[in-house]
Amino acid sequence: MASSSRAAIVKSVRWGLIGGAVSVYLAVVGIVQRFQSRDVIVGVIGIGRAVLAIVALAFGYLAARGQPHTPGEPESPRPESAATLVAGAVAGAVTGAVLGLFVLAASAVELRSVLVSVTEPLLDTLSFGQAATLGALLLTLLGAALGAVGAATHLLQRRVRAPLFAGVVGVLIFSLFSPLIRQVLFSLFVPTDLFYEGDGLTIAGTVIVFVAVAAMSMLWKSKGDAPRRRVESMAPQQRKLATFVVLAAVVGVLLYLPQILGIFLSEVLGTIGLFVLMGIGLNIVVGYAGLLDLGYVAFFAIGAYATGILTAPEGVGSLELSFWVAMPIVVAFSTICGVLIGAPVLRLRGDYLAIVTLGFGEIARIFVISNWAAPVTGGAQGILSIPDPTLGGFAFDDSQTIYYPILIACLIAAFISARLADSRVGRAWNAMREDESVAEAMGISIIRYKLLAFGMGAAIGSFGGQFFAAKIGSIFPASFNILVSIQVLSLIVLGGMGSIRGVIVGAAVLVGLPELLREFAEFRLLFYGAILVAIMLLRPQGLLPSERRKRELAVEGEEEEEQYEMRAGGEAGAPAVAGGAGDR
Amino acid sequence: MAVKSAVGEGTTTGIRGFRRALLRLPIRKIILVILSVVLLAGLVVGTRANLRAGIFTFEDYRSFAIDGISQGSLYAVIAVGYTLVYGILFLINFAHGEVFMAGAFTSFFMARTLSETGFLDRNPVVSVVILLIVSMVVSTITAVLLERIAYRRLRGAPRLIPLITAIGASLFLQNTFRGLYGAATRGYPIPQSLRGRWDIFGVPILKTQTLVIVGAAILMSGLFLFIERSKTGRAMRAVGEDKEIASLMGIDVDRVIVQTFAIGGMLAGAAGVLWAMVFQQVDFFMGFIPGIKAFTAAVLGGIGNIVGAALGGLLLGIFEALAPNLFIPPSVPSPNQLKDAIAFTILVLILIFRPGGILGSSEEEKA
Repeated sequence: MASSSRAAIVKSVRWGLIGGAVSVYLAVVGIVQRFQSRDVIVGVIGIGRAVLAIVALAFGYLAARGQPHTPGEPESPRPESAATLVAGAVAGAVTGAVLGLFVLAASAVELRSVLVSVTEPLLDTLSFGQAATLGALLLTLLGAALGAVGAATHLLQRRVRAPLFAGVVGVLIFSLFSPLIRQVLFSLFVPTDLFYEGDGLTIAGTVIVFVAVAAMSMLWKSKGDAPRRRVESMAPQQRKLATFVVLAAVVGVLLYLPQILGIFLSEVLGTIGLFVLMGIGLNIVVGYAGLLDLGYVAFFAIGAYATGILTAPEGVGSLELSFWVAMPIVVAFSTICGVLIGAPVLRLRGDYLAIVTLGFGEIARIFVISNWAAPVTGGAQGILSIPDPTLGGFAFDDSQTIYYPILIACLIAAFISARLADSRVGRAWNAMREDESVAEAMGISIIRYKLLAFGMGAAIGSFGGQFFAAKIGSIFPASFNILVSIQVLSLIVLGGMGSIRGVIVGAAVLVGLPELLREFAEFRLLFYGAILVAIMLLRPQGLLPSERRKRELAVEGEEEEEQYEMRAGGEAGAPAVAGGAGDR
Repeated sequence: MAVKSAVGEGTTTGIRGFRRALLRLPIRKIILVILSVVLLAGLVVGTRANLRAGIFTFEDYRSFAIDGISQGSLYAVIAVGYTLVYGILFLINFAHGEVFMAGAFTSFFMARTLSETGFLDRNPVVSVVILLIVSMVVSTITAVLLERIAYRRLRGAPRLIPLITAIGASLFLQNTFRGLYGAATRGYPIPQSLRGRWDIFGVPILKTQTLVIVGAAILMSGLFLFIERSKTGRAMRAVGEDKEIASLMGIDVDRVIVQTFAIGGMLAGAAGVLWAMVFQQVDFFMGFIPGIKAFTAAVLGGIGNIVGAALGGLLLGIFEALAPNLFIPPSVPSPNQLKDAIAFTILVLILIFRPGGILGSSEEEKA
């Protein structure tokens, strides 16, 4: 018993040390201080401190996971309370103490000349404006308290835990997205002064939001099943109708959205739309066909530049075609480019293909920016004054109107993509992604289907570029760097490769979030990197995996573990194989 | 049905036979041949035009070539990190460029302190050694942490998953160091005695470039001996051959992999200081392009092969330095803007024509 409790303490301390490292990292990189400039709850807590508090809570929760259960009650899933609380408190205290040590060190030694973010205001934020020693002590105590609270969630029943959690998340969302929510409420004629002061929630607002969201969560818990059951009990005919009604409602909301959101947020919406479009395109290449394309920005650039060249009054030939006339030319051209780039490289193995496409993306960028191509592409100046698309005298000239063609393009692309996935072609891609040799043996022409995927991806990507050109009105080579490719890849990976819903959610999170949280924008790329790593490590299927992927990964996971254990050899090999066989 | 049609086609000639022959044409090979003929013709025409125009003298080309060798030896040292890791894990460690940046950027602060106290000019040799040590330690730690946190759990996963992780890690490291040290480009101080040129056999060479070439040569030969002679080197080769068998032979695979990352990181750190000495500036983005170039060098020489990395690095460096002013016809304005495109074009061509690299086999698919 003594040894097991010591092991538990060691485990908590270890979690605490990791938590401390995370907290110090957040402080040193500059996230804490940058975020602190906005309040979650006005006058109570800023985002920076809230982030640190969440770290302490989370590590308290993690440290208390898997505590020994109360003996004598084998059926009860509830763990022993004292041990749990202690584990959480220890982890939280260590987290706080590490941060406290950092505060002490930073106030003793001048770190600012090396670590640019370690400023006086940061230390003030961390030590609550107190002297360093007192601040460190406070951090430790607060850490312990938060860790214990985090651990205590294990003791609560699910019934209680879910609404509490929902309430906290609700408060965070209402506060972080205050510009969005204020704008929406304003458009719906709801007064917001009670809730908000500046960008943060007032105390009254916090209470209202918390209670409302928690209550809604409880209601959903108890009554949420009813509508689902009703839908399930419907006849197929009725069910189709219900799906249709829901879809129509979604489209209706989407159509009305710019009016609610106002000009600035419509701009954001349009940008999200562009990334959804590109995400759907790249999803065909990466998610369906399993070809990792890191040069996808090339097609985006081709679309944008081709549109610019064909429609702008300046530049080659000053063709001044209309946007809609240019569209098929651009798409056809881009598709041909995709096929031409694809043809020589598609024989390559996956990881080499990724690097080659990256090379193509860079070549495209360097070419576009060079003086050599300047007569055509405008070089570093880019192409200016691209006309707005017009339709029968109506000009899509601001963010609220250009949204509609983008939306329609997204819907068309999503429709095509969804139909393709379920078609013979989609199944061929699927087979190819899983095992090329086997697919080839089954009579699938690998090169043909790869080219098809590449061409489809290029076409949809150029669509994105085209609307980008029309939306911005002028294009510069700087807009087409490798980060665009990685951004699109990130949103697919976040949402779940091969899933269209995933693309939409990924775009909303990765593109929309930094626009709404301007404090966040500076750390956008850091966040992308972290997301790519974290998703691959923890949930390779993404947040909203497609049904097919879910099934595949469930099967694959077992096999892979088995294989890996075998490959790793050693003593783990034999039992793992035996266990795997026993499962079937 | 199938039998019947097969017999039918075997006997028919004329239009159908012609169509079948057309379908059987290796289209991909034809495209490749045309591509290579066009490229070669372009090369010859461009070079002739350049030499005729006589914008550059022999001395100019010689100094381009020396620039290329110095640059190429740096590519070679960084490329080792890619090659070693790929040889063992079949993982393109996309974040290796950031490992290089981490050491170079951190050593800047040491260099600044040394320069402010005047130590840098008084004891240039000791200073450079100190900088090398700082940079190598930081890069090694970064590389090892990278392996431990990001890659280890993915060892059995399908290949694209660790590659995506590596891309994420690259972005993450870049922006971490941006947050830590700031986004500004910093001027890297170098000792007074390393400014200017030396005349070596009548050829003037920048002192820093000499340092780079000599340093890289020492590092590469040291590494070669280490891999060939030491016990650890042998273990690494064994793991690269077959992890399972190696572990049965009593080799701790995890440890060998960590050592591989550490060695790659160490060399990247050393290359970082040398790089900073030549270009005299550092920033958080400095690792990205050199990283891709070094990967190109590794592929060019034959990935998984240390001599190949050295050869590939040198070739890429020289080619990059010479190509804009030798191969690209003078009618193209500002050819130096296209320098990076040349490196990427080489990468693409190598992978298309000879994915195994110069020293590797020419087989297209490797297990």
